[in-house]
Amino acid sequence: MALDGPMKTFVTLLIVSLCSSALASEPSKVRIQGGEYAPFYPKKDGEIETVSTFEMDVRPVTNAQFLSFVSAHPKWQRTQVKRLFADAGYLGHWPEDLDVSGQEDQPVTRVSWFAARAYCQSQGGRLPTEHEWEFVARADATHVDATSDLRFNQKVLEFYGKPFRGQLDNVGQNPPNYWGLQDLHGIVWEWVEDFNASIISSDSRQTSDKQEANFCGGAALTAANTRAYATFMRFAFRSSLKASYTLRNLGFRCAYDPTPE
Amino acid sequence: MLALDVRRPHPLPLKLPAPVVTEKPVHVALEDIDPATMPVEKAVLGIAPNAAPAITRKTPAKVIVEVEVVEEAAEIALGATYTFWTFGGTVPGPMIRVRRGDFVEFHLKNRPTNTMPHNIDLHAVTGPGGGAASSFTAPGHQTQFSFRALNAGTYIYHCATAPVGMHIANGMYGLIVVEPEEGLPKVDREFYVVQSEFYTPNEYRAAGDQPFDMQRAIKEDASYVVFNGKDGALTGDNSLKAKVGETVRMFVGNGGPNLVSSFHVIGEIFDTVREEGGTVENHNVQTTLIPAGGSTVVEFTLDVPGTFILVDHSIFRAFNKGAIGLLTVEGPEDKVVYSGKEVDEVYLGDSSPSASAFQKEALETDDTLEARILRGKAVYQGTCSTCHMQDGAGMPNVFPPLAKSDFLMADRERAIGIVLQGLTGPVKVNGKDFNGVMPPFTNLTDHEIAAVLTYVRNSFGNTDTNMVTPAEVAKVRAALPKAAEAGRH
Repeated sequence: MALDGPMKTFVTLLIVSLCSSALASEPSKVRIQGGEYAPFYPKKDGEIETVSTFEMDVRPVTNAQFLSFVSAHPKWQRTQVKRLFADAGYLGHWPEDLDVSGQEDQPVTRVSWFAARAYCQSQGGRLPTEHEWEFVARADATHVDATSDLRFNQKVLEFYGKPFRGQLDNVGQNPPNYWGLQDLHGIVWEWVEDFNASIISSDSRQTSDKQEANFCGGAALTAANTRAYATFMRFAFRSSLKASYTLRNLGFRCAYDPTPE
Repeated sequence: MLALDVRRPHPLPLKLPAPVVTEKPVHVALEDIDPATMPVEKAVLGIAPNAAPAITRKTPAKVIVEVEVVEEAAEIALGATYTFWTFGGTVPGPMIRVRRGDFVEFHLKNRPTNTMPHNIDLHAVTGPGGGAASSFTAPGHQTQFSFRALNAGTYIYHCATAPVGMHIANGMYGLIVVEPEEGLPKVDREFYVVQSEFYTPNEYRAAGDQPFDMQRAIKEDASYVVFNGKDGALTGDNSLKAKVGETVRMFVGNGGPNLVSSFHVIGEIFDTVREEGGTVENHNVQTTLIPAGGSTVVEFTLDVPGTFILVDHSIFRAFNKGAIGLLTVEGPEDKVVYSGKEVDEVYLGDSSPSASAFQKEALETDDTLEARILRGKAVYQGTCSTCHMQDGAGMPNVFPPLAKSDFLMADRERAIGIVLQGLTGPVKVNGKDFNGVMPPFTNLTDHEIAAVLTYVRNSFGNTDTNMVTPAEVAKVRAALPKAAEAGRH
């Protein structure tokens, strides 16, 4: 008997929940104690940014989790989404609107900024800001800030240097960092709320000093740490995006304002 | 000493290019164009080491260039892989060729499976960023921008996405040639070569997957310096090939990211160098500098067959990091231009420690005629052959012959004395008169003099199996005035 409509969705969700059971028993989000950090592109020399305490998903959002979301919010399904909010590649790796077969625990990709944002709102959260994301991305397993550790930098660089191998890894397989977060580096890029805040989008022929700063030697003029190649790459990557873009190696996770203790 | 002018006429000037006076202004005004109505053509790209075909058009066109950025692992050396970021799947990227005044519509495609955003900065572009901002492209997207080729020359293009050094270090560069309106002079063969360096944690040719090493890149400590993107891209079966009589042009870029190239082709002299890829022509150049992010164009005619070796003459790069390529030339020999090896024999410097040791050992271990002749030959090569020539024929009217020499063979004691004291004034040898100066060779030991005289008296048509002995020499030396007794015993 062929399953259609809600019944199929139900079955899929059931399978998804079974497959995801290994992850289900672990905490899905962690509290990040706020603090000060030096932004990569300071607005003025020596600027110190304060990041407030917040909460963040331990792992990137998976295909299975996103499937639950689009099932509940049909306007974000592949065949129903408005082009304005997601380009033609949106969820293109799913066989059908409500079918993620075999990819349940892989991070969801080919999602636009709009879609990622809508997902987080549906979870009572939001996308992390660039400051929040970069604040936690500095950590290795034991240090809040490992960016001066050459081995840490080299490891992140090597991930960025590797091309797509046909399949994304499942989330949750890499060891957690200092905050208990997994997979910030190693599987996919991640959307942030203000992805184009530091660098003006470069689709325009009009140039500004800020935009010029992205290319060639110009990039080194404004950056706080010219040896943080991995960070350079994230900023360059984000600045190549538009909100409707969907990329095979770009996913997201959500952040939340802290629950009162 | 005999005052002798041995200078001979300079060899024939084979090909001296006429001096080129470049006085015309760099910027001859271009005609106005309307891109909407121009003839359109798709650029034919050159995949290294093949150059893109020459432009035959005499009028401007709108040229469509399409390049896809590909990130993929490939061999950097036998058994070693590297994840290259490339324009078009090759390192260097394709050679683009247009004509000055052309309108170029550039399409940059970033393959969906790529990890990185990329762009292109073509040094042939007049405009901020050289196209970098306008071509900034996320994975799975494509962009388009246009420019007019205002300046003729050979230009590097490269990815300029931050961190730019890493994008270049991973292989993102190539050449765009903007031909002058009148075109480049016709040649028989063109090649496309780009030098660049790679930075890996392990050394040159270390096996396995080699990632980019940021620290070594910052230190400019390259593990590979190569032509055309990998160790051995231009050697063995991949050697460049040409024929005797052909004129060859090489468009040579230097992608860097850090090192300046001292480009040289071993065994050739560049008849023409278009310096730094620009308009100035230099001639008869041995080695030419190619800046990182720069180019040169070299041209030379192949006069003789053989293997000519492309190197970065910062020579450890050639021997230890891969900066080597081969140009194999087939065709008939020209022994006047190049003889090939004419002599290869033992040379013992007069006073080098190893030579002395050899001689000392020889003294104690041999005394046969054959051995003494051999040792004598070594002395002859280092000392006597300069004037008496390799074959003992001497030089007519200047240096008397030793070959079949009645003067030499008539009196062995006199011969010993001449070596020890030299000879000044008229002598008659084989019926010919000579009147010159031979210096004394008191620096030779008795053993050396005995050996060399035994050699000459048993060579060049002479025969005297009765060896000259050190004792004989010592006796003659002892009879000399004190000043001549400086020889080592």
